[in-house]
Amino acid sequence: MAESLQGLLVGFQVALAPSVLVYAILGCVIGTIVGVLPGLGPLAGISILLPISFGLPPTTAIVLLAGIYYGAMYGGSTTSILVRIPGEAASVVTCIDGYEMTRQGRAGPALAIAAIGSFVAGTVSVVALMLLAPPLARFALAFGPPEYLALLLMGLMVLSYISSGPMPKTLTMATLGLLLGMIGIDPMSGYNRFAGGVHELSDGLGVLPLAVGLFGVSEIMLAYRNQAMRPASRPRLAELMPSREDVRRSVGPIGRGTVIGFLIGIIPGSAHILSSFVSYAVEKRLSQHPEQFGKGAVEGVAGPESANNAAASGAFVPMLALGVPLGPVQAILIAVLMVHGVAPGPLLITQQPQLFWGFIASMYIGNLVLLVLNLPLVGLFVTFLRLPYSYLYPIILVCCIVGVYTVNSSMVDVLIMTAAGAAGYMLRRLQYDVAPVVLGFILSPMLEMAFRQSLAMSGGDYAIFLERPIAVTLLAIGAAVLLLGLVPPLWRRGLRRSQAAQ
Amino acid sequence: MSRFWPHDRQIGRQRLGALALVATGAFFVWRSLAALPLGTIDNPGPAAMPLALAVLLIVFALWSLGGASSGLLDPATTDDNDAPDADDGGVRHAVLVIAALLAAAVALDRIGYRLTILCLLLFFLGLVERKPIVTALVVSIALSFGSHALFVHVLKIPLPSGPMGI
Amino acid sequence: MRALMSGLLVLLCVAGVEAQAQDKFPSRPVTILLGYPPGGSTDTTARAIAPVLERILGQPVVIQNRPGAAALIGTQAVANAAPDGYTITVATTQLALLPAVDQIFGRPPSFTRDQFAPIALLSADPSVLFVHPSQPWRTFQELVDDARKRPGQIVYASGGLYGTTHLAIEIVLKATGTKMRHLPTAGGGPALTAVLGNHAALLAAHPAVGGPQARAGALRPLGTMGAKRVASLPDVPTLKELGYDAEYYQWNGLFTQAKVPEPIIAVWREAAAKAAKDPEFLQAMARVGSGTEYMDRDAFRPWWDADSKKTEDTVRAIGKVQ
Repeated sequence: MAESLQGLLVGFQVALAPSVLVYAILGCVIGTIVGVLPGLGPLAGISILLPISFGLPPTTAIVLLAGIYYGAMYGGSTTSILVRIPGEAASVVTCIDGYEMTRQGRAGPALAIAAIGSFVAGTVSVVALMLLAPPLARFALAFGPPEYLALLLMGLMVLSYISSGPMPKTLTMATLGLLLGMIGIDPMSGYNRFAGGVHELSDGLGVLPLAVGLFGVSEIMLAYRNQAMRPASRPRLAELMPSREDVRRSVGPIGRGTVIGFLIGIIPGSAHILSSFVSYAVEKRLSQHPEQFGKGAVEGVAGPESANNAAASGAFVPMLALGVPLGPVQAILIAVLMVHGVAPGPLLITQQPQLFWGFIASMYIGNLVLLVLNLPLVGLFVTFLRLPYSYLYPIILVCCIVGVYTVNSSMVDVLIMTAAGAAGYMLRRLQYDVAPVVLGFILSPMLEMAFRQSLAMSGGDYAIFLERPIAVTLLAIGAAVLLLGLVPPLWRRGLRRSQAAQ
Repeated sequence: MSRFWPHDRQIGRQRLGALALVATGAFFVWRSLAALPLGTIDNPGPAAMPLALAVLLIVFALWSLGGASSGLLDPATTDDNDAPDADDGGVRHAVLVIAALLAAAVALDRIGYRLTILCLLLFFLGLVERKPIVTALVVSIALSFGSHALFVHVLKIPLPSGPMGI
Repeated sequence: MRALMSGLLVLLCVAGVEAQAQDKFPSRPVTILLGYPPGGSTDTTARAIAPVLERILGQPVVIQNRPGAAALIGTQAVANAAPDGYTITVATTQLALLPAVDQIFGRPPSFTRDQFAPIALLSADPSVLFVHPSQPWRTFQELVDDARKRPGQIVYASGGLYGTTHLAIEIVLKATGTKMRHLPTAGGGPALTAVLGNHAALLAAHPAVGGPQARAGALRPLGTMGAKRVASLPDVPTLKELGYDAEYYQWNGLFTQAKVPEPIIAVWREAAAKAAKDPEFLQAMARVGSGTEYMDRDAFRPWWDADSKKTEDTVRAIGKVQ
């Protein structure tokens, strides 16, 4: 503990040096800009500044790029809340209640709670990262395909809590999403599934074009006549800040979201997108007023946003403690480290304490910078909503096109977004909730791969799922939650029947 | 007659929607069986999971259609994010948005970013929203060329150029 | 007077021809179009050589990443680019691999090797075999013996079906006459994690990826698949030394379109030759743990053909897995 504090002091010395601080702030600013644009995410931002980072000393380079990553996380929630367009994949859940709050003229509180939640989660998870990186990394390594499958099956159960509609429709949408996730090259057999010869579909439809289309484009199509659906154009100035009630209701979700997000984030794989979905489901389950979810419940913003940021920090644990990249962003960061002659690996923490602690310290600072940056910007962003809707929506459409196109420089992505927009419009007119589609879409390729990988490991023997302690535990917990979850609806049904009989 | 009975119209639409979903499921069943190996129980192939999901989709789509117990049109569970009986003006607008996006997607690589966005904005501001032509032109030019400058020169993200380098 | 005029005309023509000949290539910025995302070895190699080439050629050298479909999208874009020498690429096994995979699936190939002209080989690092330290094999021979005793029981991880880490192990299996179970993962990172967590026993990895882990005791190297030992792992024998003909490299080379005129290719070859010896390039490559192995086009072409044949044969031998 004392060692950690000492290391942290060294780290702060490094991170607060003006030259390093400047780059931290620069990274946060660019990250926010990049994150606010729908589609464009941290990967794009980091790729942009990559050449510049090569000319900087290693700690400064990492601080800059990590700042972009964080900034993009913060910025992504801004578009989700203001115009219901996910800035990046992990912000999809924030669209649900965040935009509802905007429609009620409460965009300011929504943005502020998102920023505060992100800050708290980011800071707390950095502490956990700092103190527990090596043991956490070892825990994360214990997750192989069977454990991963168990975790994802639990994630599948979350689907029923995301949507507010009737169960059959929720299941239909979830299954549609799961099915759409099957499009692309099957990594276990090499077959290109349902791609119809279109090479751009080999990697799948892409969660970003799908989400931007299903949420954002469909929103624009629906909001035309329905005045009530548009964001409130005259937000009440006095209520730019969250009320006492808002803060009180957000405390629990922020705390729980941090824990959930961090734990999910350290596990290898892009499961970190799941963190916001799981947090939303947990908050809805624990809330006194679950019917408010989907209609502007502040918990629906506080929890997922915190989980998001905690997962982002958690994802750095394997990178720093083991030198293993779990996603494209970490791969770039590791490459940057290598270019600067720092060998990532289990010995990084001990051999390069300055780098490690400097990085940790800059994460604290980055979180603080982003909070300071975003809170005043709330007023600015909300002013953007004052534009007459007839000017606003063409601009939003342009942002969607640009954001989605520039991810892969591919017009196929824009076409996917358009198709998703049309489908989203029709589905929502028919009273289907499209949120489960996105979650299903993300889950199915991972589920299938984990399942088939487990069988590949065991040579086809299904007993592998019962032979591994962590997997068995997770499956048991999942089964328990599922059964417990079934009790209330069955009970209510029984109650209704007996009431009807009376 | 159904104009006076929105309920009937709704049921008709719901049926159409469910049909579309069933058709989607059927399409995936067909493609799975036709082109992909099923594999075996201890080595499931690329067709296994898509087939199972497609069948489930058909089942759930039919379930969500049938019966009052599925909560069809139950006002307590209605997602108020749609306009059940939007007039045709709303549909027309929706179609215009999709058509514009399609055109933009195809045009981007052909006539370049600036011209595409310029035309897109002019279309909406000038034609659809009937803003004064000068305002529409000014805003469209400013936004298309301005955003291009932001992306290409500040953020260094390449955007497609059209003929003559525009 | 007429003589003067014709004399002037001849002079002008000659001057014109001379001016043409001196129309230097390149006269505008050049693009290195990559099929791989930032962070991988191809990308770092490109970023290591780009500034050096820029200095030598006197024109900006821009790197563009166009990832997608396992390098297919970007590679196809390079093949279809105008053959004027202004679009080159840093490429690796994918040039032979993707058409071979297309062939076994009965698909028309998205591109073929003969659409590309090699300029120079830049690096070639042998794959290294790593096992989890809890596994009982201390030498490569022990692994082979155990594999022979229980065929199909040992699990090896790879970064993807038909990827270089998969083919490397298949080559080893063929050379030793053994069978093992394959665990495909979603990439180099997940494959490494799988072995670090002992969910799979064995992995063929790039020395810069597995080396730091080995030095920290998280992995045990058993053998390398090169002609010579790896500098960063001097105690690890080559499979050749141990008597097995199993050689496979993770390499990167400069390529352009086959239709590019020979004089322009000559310019590139010269620039590459200078860049490959430049201390800035060598230092940048050393820092990311990549070796450098320069071969000019004439030596590179037969090497590339041999490596491609090995790749194609191995892919065909693996065939469809389901």
